[in-house]
Amino acid sequence: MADLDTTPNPTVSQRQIVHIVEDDEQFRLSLLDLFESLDIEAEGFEDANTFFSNASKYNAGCVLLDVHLPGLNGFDFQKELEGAGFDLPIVFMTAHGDVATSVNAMKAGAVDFLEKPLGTYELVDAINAAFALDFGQQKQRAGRIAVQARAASLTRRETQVLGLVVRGLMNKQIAFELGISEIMVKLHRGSGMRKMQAASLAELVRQYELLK
Amino acid sequence: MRPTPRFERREPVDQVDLLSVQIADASHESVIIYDADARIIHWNYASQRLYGRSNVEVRGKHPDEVFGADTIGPDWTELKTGGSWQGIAQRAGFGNVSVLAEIRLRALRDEEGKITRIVEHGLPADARIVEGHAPGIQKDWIAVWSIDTSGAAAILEHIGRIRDQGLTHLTAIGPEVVAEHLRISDMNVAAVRLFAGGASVTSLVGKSAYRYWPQKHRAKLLDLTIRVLQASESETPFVTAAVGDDVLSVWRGKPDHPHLISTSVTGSWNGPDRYWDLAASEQRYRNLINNVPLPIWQVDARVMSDVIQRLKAAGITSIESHLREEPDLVRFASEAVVVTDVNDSAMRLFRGKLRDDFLKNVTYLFSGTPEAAMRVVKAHFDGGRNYSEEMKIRTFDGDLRDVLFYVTFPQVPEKLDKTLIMMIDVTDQRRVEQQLRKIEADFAHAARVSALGELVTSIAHEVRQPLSVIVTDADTGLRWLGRDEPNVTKVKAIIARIAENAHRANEVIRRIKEMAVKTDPMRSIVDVNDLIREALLFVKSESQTHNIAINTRLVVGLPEIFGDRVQLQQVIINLLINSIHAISGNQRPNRLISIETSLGTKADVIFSVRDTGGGIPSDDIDRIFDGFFSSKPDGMGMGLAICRSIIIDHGGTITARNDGGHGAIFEVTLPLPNGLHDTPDDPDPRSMAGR
Repeated sequence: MADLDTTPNPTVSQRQIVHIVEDDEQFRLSLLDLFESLDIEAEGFEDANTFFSNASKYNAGCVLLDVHLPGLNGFDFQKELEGAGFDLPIVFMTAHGDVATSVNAMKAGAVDFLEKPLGTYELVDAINAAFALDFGQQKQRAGRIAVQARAASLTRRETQVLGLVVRGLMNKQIAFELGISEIMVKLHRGSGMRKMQAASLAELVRQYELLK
Repeated sequence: MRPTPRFERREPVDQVDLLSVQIADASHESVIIYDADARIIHWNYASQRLYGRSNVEVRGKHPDEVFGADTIGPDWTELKTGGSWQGIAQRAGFGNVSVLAEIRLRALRDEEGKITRIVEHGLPADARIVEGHAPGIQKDWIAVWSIDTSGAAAILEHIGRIRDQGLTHLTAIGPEVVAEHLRISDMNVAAVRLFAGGASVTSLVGKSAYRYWPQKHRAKLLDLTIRVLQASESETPFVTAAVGDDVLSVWRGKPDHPHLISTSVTGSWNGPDRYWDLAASEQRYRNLINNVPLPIWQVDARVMSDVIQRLKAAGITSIESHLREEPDLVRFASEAVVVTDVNDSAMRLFRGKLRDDFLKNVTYLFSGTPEAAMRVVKAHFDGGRNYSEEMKIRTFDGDLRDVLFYVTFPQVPEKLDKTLIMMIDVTDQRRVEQQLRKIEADFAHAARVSALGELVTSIAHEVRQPLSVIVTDADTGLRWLGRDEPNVTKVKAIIARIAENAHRANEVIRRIKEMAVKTDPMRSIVDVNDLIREALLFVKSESQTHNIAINTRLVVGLPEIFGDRVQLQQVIINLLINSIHAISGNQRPNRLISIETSLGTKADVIFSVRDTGGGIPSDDIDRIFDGFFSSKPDGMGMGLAICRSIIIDHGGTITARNDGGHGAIFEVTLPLPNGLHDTPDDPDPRSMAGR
């Protein structure tokens, strides 16, 4: 999570982009045209490498992925995507959909599995679902980043005290644990809560959950 | 009847010590102690009960005085010389009632060898066995069988009737069958120990007495038994015969139980060893059979040797034709041949619980494959030492199992009562083999299907890609046109892409067609005869699998042609495989493919493939060279279409016609290299002329 400290924009991105990864140039262009006509922002990549070297990690949206990519198949791509820190939902496309591949794709967390030739309505539905999922994930991620920023502003003592608070210890116990007076515990606790913008113990605990 | 020696009476009689008396009195056997002069000095309680006289009455008396002089008793002379005697005594008891006793006497001697005492042990002889008849001559041992003859008597009657009618039928029942119906109702201890291997009497009841008679006396005892059975039921006949040292007797005890007869064999101790040996050897044999982990049946097939002898005497040389006339013979054989012993493995194989369920006629062994019984009879008739086949058996719980059945026929007919049948359960092996064969077949099929499947998959992928573009573009184009301000530039570009991808799809289809028939053939000078010989190697295993013969008639000195070796072989193999499939699919009895070469009249070489596969339906004959036409459920319908393309490419023709109702003839002509490459004017409209 350390690299997240460099996050330029820790808020929910409004620009959601369809990242098309499709080796067939004609179809890639065809899809780009279709999304343009639908007023959906889209970007085309001819293979996995092009995607990883050109796509921004902080882009929101989804990936529209051909299962049968030369060099790297769609499922390996999916794993690599996670490994590289991308957090984008995936919609698969295939020219020969069989039950086994589609089951594998869905199990691996695909939003949808579309068979070529694509029906426009199905495609739009799948993209909308992927965007909705992405929006939720973005929000969660933004929330986490905000909490992390607040947590970073705590002093060492405040961090210690709040750590014990969320573990359910009472002030008296915390004082004993840290070898300081109960008054000091109350002070650190109060300033910590303020810095974390937590109005209640319950909210503090929820924030700490995000940090895990 | 042996005279009892006279002894002088002397007084007083010796006293027996108290301990001996007490021991004697405690015995449930009759114990009589005699002094050296054979005077009774003690007589225990069991003796009192057996003979009805008290100790006081008989003390000091000689046996003659007690039992009557003319009754049958021990041989005192033999006792004094030999030291012991054993046998049946018939004595007069109280009130002159006849008492039968199995007695054993032993002489006790002092240090000088002088007899001091004689001790007699006795038990009442079984009244059911001896029925008042003394076996007569006393020997060292007596084996007695009490036999229920009701079944045998019925058969004798039947035989009598047949004889009266003057009928002689193959299945007329011989003495062996009578023997099978002599059922043991009781046996004495000696008989059981000597001839039944010490089995319990209850287990022997109901079994064939014949089989438990001493082997060397069986024929004679059967003969005597039949004589007794033939006597009127009111009589109580007693017949006896001496065979060597042994005396055989058969008698009917009481007229009120006419079916109950007794047989006895008495013998001397001088020679019982041979019986013991026999018993021991039989025991060893039985142990062997029981311990072999192979299902074994011992059957008594002696009845078959008679049947076979009779058939051969009647001049029958071929049992098959005879069995057609006498279909009952096999049934008779299965019913008359009985299992006499069976081991545990056999019982496990048939999943039977009771040994008795197995000791019956052999019909049950053949219930899974009834026709095997006939083959066994035939093998026996033909004089084989053994016979084996793989057959199915039906177990007692109804399961069908595959077994290797093996039977040995002893070469000496008398030994046929020890005919052995063995079975090896091969069900699991067969099941595995069958699975393997199925897997093999599946694999072959899967290989073909997957080759086709791969082709289809790649075709699908290749064609779908441009189609996807077209579908998506068409939609996008409509969308742009549907806007308030249609984006004509966009639409133009999109329509151009649609056209481009339509061409692309077409290109894919063209490439696939090219794949099917190579457009770049390797032409060289080839000998069609050589091509055929090589092609035959490819189809050899396939034709052998389907049991199809391939005849070749290849003209010597056939001119060489110019062509693609591999493509032309592909044609030949394709035609041969089609013929093989036609024949195997039709299950024709005549399974033949002929492949011929000849020199045509138009400067061409002709080869033809002729099969017996039933031919091509007349509706189909015009379409068989069309692509995707197939008569096979899993056929792609490309074989003959490709053949035609190849042959046309070589400037030749390929035609198909039917050979009467037998099969199809495919004829291929290929032009000679220096010959005419003009379009041949073929009169046959069905022929696929070159371009």
